[in-house]
Amino acid sequence: MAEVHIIGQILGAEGFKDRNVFCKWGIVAGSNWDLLEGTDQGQTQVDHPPEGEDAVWSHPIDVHYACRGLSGWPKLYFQVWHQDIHGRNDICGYGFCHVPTEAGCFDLDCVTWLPEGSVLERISAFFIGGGPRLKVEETVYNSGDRFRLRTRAGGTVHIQISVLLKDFARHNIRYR
Amino acid sequence: MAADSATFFMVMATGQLECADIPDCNNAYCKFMLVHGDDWHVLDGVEDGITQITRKSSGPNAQLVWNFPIDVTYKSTNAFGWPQLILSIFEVDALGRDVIKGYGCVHLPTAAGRYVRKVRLFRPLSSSLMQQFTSWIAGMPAEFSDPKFPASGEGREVTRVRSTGTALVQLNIITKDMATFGYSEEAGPADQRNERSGF
Repeated sequence: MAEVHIIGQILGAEGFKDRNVFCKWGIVAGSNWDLLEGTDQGQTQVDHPPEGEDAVWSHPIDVHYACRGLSGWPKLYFQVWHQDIHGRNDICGYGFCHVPTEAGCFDLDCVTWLPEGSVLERISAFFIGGGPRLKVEETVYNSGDRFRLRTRAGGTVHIQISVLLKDFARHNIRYR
Repeated sequence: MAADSATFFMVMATGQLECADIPDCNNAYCKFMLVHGDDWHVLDGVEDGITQITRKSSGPNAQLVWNFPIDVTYKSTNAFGWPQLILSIFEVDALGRDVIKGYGCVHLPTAAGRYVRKVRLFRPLSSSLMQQFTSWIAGMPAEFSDPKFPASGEGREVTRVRSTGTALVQLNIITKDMATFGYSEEAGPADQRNERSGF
């Protein structure tokens, strides 16, 4: 059984309309994959960056998987939320990225999007806040059923991770 | 001498805390500490330290320069709990008190090579407006009660922070027996884009 370590940090985000953002994140892997150690989901701190600067989360990730097969290679997914001065949270981006299938250190940028409602919903969101959210959050990292979903662009989440593969060569898996 | 299979692997990290750039901070020192998982053991070197108190130079690119050495060797049987470097930067104010200016955290790189890591700093905000006011009056902003907090992901959802400035850390990594222990050969510093500018 081969093993995969994913070690790194969710550095932060840029390009979101709102400054005070935080992120709910998680890692999904197929049924061939077992989480041995570490936490595979969490929530970052809320950053209040100075005007014009990017949000810093600096959230550590350290997970250890054992895999019986390669299918279902882990994916990182993110939900970026904005917190306003009253402590209310509003979604401002969904996104996912694959963990690279190569050993090494990587800087990943994850682009995000968010659902867009009808014109009426947009007008009401402008005045009282609260836009549409996804009912089925698996849509973020699954390829099915996105047709006719209307979305617009969010910002970018920056991730720095190292991937360590153990016993891949012994099982004749070419990883580079 | 080279064995076909090893019972542990070693990671040596050398480097330095080079400098920091924090707005409104002219006179500061940095405490650093390395934290790691249960399977890791220090073979040589020290895991924590405290730098001198440095004053910013004058001029347009003024920085807090520490040039403080880091040199530590680990042995481990499991990559889980890979060491992380935590920085906490304190300003010495006019009354001689230590005022927190920023925390930062970075994993040691997992592949051999030379790295320059730009560590973004942040400090916690007080939990209530009242505390924010009293800490402003007293000139002592909120600190983390556990200095190892930046290295863990727990309790983050109730933390509000303000990001302030960056620190620059140089790290040289060399590993031994990773391949014979079963880990794949790795690419070195993959992407230099993260260094010195932007993310």
